[in-house]
Amino acid sequence: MTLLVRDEADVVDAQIAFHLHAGVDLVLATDNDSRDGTREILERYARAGVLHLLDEPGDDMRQSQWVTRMARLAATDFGADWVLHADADEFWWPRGGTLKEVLAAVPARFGVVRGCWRHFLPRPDDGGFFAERMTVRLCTPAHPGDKETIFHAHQKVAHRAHPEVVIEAGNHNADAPGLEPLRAWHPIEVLHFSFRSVAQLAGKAERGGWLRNPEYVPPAHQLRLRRAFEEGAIREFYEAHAVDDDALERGLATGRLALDTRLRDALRALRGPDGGFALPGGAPRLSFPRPDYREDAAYAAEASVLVEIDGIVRAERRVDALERRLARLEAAGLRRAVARRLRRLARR
Amino acid sequence: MTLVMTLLARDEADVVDAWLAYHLAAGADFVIATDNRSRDGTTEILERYAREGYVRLLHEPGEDLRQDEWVTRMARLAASEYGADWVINSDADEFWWPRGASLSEVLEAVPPRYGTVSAFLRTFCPRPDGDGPFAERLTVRFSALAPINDPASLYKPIRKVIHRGHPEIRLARGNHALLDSPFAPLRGWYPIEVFHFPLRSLAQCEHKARLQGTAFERHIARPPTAYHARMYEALREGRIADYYASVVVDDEELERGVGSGRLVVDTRLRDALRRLRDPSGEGYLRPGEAPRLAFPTPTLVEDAEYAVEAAVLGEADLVRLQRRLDTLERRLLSLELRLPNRVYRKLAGAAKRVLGRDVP
Repeated sequence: MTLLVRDEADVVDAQIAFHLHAGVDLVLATDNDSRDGTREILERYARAGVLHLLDEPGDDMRQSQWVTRMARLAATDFGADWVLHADADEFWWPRGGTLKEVLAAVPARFGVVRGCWRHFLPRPDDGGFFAERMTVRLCTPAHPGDKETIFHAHQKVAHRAHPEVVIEAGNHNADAPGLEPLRAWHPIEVLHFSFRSVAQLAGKAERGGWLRNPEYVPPAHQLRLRRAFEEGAIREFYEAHAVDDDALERGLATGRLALDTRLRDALRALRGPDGGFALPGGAPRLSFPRPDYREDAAYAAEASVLVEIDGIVRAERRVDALERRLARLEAAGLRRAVARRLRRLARR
Repeated sequence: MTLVMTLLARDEADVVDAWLAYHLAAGADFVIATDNRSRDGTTEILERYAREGYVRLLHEPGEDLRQDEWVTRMARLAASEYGADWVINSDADEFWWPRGASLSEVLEAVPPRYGTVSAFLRTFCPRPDGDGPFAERLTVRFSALAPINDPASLYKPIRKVIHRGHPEIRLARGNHALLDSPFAPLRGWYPIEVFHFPLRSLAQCEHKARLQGTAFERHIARPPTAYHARMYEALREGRIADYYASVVVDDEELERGVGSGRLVVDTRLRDALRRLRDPSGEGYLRPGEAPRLAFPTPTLVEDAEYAVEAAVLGEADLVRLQRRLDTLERRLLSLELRLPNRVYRKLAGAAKRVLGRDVP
């Protein structure tokens, strides 16, 4: 697993411990100038031999480049069979079996598998550990094309290790010669905890390097977060997104929200009385039961939009638009086309 | 939750009893059947289930296989008179196999904002003729993992659509599509497999070729499915036995096919039907006496293999899109080559002469 982090101390210990107990053998981490204790957490795992730490002091969040570097190292230096690219706020939850078993089930001729984001919504910030508070999952994520909100459907990528692989910004796609994607099967849920507390959100807005990457076009939701920060309104921003008990009750009734304590329970099993997390071997392996058909149906409904963007619907819309343009042209456009060409000629 | 299945049948006596017994034990609440001129005992089997209250039987004397119209009529009845929440439109040679729970349970789990689900058609190969029920012999299916380049292949990847009940639904293209559908499709999830047994014996193959071929030749404007056309051609040229022999999978071929991953032995339907057979003799247990069938949740490895096979359905969509794009491109090209360019070339030529330089 690769992990690119900057100031994620509230979540990164849990994240690494979780994945090391869920089937990940080694973490390749890039620390991008963390100042909040993240680095010390990474070093503890490095000392235990389960994490390889790289430093990246750059302040321009060249995510694609930095993750690609780790992805290639995984193939060339660490003998990885599969690589998955996680963020510190993501917990990759296999749908039956461990991560390793899920990936081992992929037939040999396929080299890319996608996981589907499932968003956990922020809850009122009482200073408690995020996973204890955040047990509310959004069941109706926005369309993948909707960049107004972080809470949209999207896929994250795992792939067979390859020395020439390129990872797209956002870790949504992997490209390498011969890496064939297995489409429309999302055997891993990526449990996503992006807004966790006021302090965490303020730090993310303040130190987000993405604003300084000239090649990166930030989506609307990132710009909105930044604006809230500049206006000193991060608390209001957080509270506007947080689900209080009333909203929770309404959401459960309409099916927009679900209670989901899977991560909370898994982390409880890994957490010692002092709040620290177990190193590999220090706690039993996590177990991931196979979901039943009801959960399959709900999950398929969320993943369905990903299948749509994965080619067919986008192409269909293009064809529809082309057909309309063509029909207009066939009906009336001939004269206009002649006139346009004549005008252009006259200008010369 | 009420699940109604519709069935259009003509001379399917070798499968229709099994079809009814199976689906009524697999989660269907009720069946609306249209009998189209059967003369082989199919009508009597349907009438028996109708007397017992499991089937509403319509008789359609038409010779012209107006399948869309007849199936649409049944699908609308399912909603308007039988309160169907979901409707599955089937042929008698199709057995709908849910993955992980009964048919009605799987469909009930579909979130309300979606109104159609696709099922994945899995075609079983004809095997050498013999006695006994078809499902005892036909336990080999074609793996969708094997590439299919022949558009006339019997084993083309195909999906069928299941829809919520609606009094104005319109079916098209032999139950494969809805017209002007009010329903949002749930894409990329195929919770139901359709075990398809189109060819079961030489006699049945010959009869089917004659019925379908005649209907298409005399009554139907659109061209028949390519494999139907091929079968009918063989029939007219007196080669139907050769044709059938060429598609039958014998034991030798089975061994080769399984070895190369092209064929898969699949006894799920056979085993389910064995549980439903009447131990005291012929036929199947009455629906009231039969056990409910159990449908185990597939394992992760089975799911992975299934996902790979089902992926060809997406690819088939893309192939059709490419064809539409090819057509578009030709139309565009012909437009572009018409008047504006001719005019432009002429004027550019004139300008060149006048100005003494090239016009780009």
